[in-house]
Amino acid sequence: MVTEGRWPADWIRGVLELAVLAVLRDGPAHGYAIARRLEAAGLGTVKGGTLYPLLSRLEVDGFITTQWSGGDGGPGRKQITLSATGQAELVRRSEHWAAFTDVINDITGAERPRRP
Amino acid sequence: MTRLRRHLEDPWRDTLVTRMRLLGVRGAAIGDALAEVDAHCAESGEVPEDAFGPADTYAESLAATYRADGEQFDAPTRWWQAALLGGATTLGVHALLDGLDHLVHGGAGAIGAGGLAAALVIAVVAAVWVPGIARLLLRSVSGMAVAWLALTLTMVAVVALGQWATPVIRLPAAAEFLLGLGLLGSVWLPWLGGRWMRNGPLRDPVVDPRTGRERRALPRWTTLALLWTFPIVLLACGVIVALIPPQ
Repeated sequence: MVTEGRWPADWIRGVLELAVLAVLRDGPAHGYAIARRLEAAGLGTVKGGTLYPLLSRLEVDGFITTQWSGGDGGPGRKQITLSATGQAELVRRSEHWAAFTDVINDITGAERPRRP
Repeated sequence: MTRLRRHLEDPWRDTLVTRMRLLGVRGAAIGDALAEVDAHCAESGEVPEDAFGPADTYAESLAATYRADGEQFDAPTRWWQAALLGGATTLGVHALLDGLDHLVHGGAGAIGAGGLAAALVIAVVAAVWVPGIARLLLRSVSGMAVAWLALTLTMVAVVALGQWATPVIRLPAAAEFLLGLGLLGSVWLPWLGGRWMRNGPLRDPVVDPRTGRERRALPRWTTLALLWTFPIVLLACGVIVALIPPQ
C-alpha cells in the first residue's frame, strides 16, 4: 500500500523513515501535514496505514516526540517534533544515504541529477 | 458515550478496537490510534478504509511497532488466572445466594453438587476462552456468533446444574453467606485477584487523548448482542427450571 506515485514501492519503503525525519527538520507537523510535505517533495502519496505505524516506530526509538493539541473547532491534532536524538539520527542516515547513492551511481554509471 | 464523528465509520473503528484489544494493546494506546485516525480523516476527507486499509491489518501493523516491554502492551490474563476467577466467582455467587436464602427462610446452608459442578464448568470454559479461543473467534462475524452461542449454552448449563441440590459441604447459613462474600471479594477486589483483570474495558478503558474522556470500549453490535442475550438466556433458564422435576 505504501505510496501511490512514480517510484517503486520497495524503494519508498527503504527511505521513508529518512524522508520523514528530514521533513520534520523544517519544524513540527502533524501526521497529515507530513504526508502532504512528502507528496509535495515528489515522493508520492503516503497512506495513513503506512505513515502512522512508521511514526510510532520513530517515537518508540526516541527520534520524535509527540503531543496532542486542541483543534480550532475541529478534532485535535498530534504534533510531531524531531527530538535531539532524531536530529543526530537524521544527520547520520543522510550521510549514509549520500554515500550509498554515490556507490549506486558509480555502479549504474548514472550521473547525480542537478537541481535547478 | 462519546458520539462518533460523521467521517469515522463504526464497523471499521469497532474492528480496530477489537483487534487491538485481542493483541493485548492497552486502552491508552488504542485511544491514541483512534484519535490519529479521526484527525487524519478529518483533514484529508478520506474514509478510514481508504486511508488506513483494512482495520485488522492496520491494528496488527501498529501493534508490531510497540516494544514488547513497552507501555503499550499489557500481559493478558493467564489460563489459570481465568479459571480461578471464573470458578471462584461462580461458587461465590452460589454460596452467597444460597446462604442468603437460608438466612432469610431458616435452615442450614450447604454447598451443593450443582454449585461445585457449575464452578468447575465455568473454570474450564474461562481457562479455554480467555487465553486462546477469544483471540481466534473474535476475528470474524461467524466466529463471534459461535462464541456467543457457546457462552449462552454455558450459561444455560450452569443454571441447570445449579438445580442439582445434593449437599456436598454442610455449613451454617451465615458461614455460607460469608464464604460467598469472601470468594467474590478475593476475586474481584483490585489488590487481590482483580489485578489479573488488567486488560479489558473495566480497568483499562479506551481514552481519547484529546479530551481525556473514555470512548466506547465495546463495538456497538457486541454491546447489543450482550444486552439481548441476557433476557433470552433468562427466559430459557426459566423454562429449564420449570421442566426439572423437584427433588
